[in-house]
Amino acid sequence: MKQLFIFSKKELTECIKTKRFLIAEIIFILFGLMNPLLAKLMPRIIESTLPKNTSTSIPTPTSLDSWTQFFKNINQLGLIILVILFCDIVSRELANGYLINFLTKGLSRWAIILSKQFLIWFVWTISLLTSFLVTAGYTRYYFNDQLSRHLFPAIFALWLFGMLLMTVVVTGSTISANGAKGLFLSGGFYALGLFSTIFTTTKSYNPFSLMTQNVQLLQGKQNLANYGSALLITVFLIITSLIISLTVLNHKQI
Amino acid sequence: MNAVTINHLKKSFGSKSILNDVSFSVPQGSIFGFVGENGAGKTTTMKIILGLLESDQGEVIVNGQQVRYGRSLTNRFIGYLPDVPAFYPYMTARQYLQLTAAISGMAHTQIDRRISSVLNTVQLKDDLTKIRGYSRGMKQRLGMAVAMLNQPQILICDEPTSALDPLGRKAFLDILASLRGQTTVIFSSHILSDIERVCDRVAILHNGHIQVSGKISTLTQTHSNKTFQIDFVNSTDVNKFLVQTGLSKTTYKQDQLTLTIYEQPGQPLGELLLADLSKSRIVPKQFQQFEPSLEDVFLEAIK
Repeated sequence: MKQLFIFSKKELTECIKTKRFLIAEIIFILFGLMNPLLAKLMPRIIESTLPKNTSTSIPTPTSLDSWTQFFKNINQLGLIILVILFCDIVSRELANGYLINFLTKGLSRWAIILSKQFLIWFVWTISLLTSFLVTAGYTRYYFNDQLSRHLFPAIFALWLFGMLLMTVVVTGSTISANGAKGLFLSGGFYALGLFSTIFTTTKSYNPFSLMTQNVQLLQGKQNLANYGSALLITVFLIITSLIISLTVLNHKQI
Repeated sequence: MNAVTINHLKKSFGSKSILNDVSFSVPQGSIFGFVGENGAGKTTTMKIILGLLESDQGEVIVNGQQVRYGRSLTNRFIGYLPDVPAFYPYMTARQYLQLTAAISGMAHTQIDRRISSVLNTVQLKDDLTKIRGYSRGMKQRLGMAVAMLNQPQILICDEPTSALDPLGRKAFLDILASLRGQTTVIFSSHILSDIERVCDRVAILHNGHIQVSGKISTLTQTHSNKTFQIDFVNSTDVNKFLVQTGLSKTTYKQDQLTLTIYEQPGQPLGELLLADLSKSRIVPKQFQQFEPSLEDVFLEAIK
């Protein structure tokens, strides 16, 4: 446990010193600022693109538009940026030979994987929370309505899905010899998962529903309890992916 | 007692066999040279000793305990300096050593004092320079500091001098030599002069086997022989001398007016050659006797 604490501290320091944490935070704060602003400005943007004298009624934006923008940005960009930032989290250390000194000083391999996993989960959670808080603050400022009543189930579903993707990033990076291969594995998982959402019959079991049904959950059109199986499968996949990472590194000849 | 014992070690990568029944032992307190060409399997052997690689067959015993792949229990006795030591570039030497000390479980009260001591030993400045600004030689010295940090009983150095300039090499070899008697050192290299300078024992790895192993002084006496070099004034003297000695063609090499004569095991040659020169009334330009070196042992071992 002491080694896990020491190496986790090193991981956090490294993440800060290599500016990865800063980059993630800036991007997620920007999303937080953009979401309500874009929602607020969208009618004017649309209006300005229409020919003059066209009579169309553009609906007044609501907090739902702001949160729709939030989920779109995090799902389509935020998660992908985190995958790119951390796709070489294990492979970089292995390829550069950084771990040899520590392994020969008695560092356990499981401590390496767990510390990296904790770090990436931490960065995802903090980034999501930051973006959420900024979006929530400005959404309340711009649209003080009561339409987004089921915010927490929608955010929780997204958070849990992000935890799964971040676990797969560590697994991909442990299996692969470099960042590009890690990116390919994590990207492949993401792409295949997205493709799987076209099969509506498996919707309630599919972990990817947790990131595609956010707006439905937010509006209360869907209940998180309907996705109990997807939640359980997601937790199961997180544990499985973590076990794969630990096993692969244990058998990796360094 | 042996610090490290290797018995019948085998290792292949795919279809390529690297180690094929390698056995040798390293006595405690010795400075042990591990010699072989590039790609002979020196690093592979060292990584197996450290439990970083899994052997296909055989066993490695460190201080009486068997090394198990992936488990680092025996590593508490060992300090390791890889051929290309790699460090986090954003750290200073002290920060890196603090991290290493914490991981190795060193007592907090000892850490700062011990770091100052090893940095002083390897002559590395204890300043705020980040490792990214270090030269290759400085990184090698930091690697040595890391390896010696927890005062290991066994120090394994993998080709530590191959990329250093002459001054860096000398400084490094001096540090190794200063450990004689206190620490068992296993020092791999293909630079035979470095091995000969600091090591008292050697093992030569070739074609996956240990070709010879033992004390350098004994090996040079038993595995190789003296050579004599005679420079003559003219070719008439060369011919006259060859007729007088009746040397078999396999025992000498002629290069114009220079003869290099190889002593055969158990047949001292020096006095006989001088006597033949005297009998032939030849005064050579130069008569030289060469003691066998590790290079001769190595060349004979890999024939």
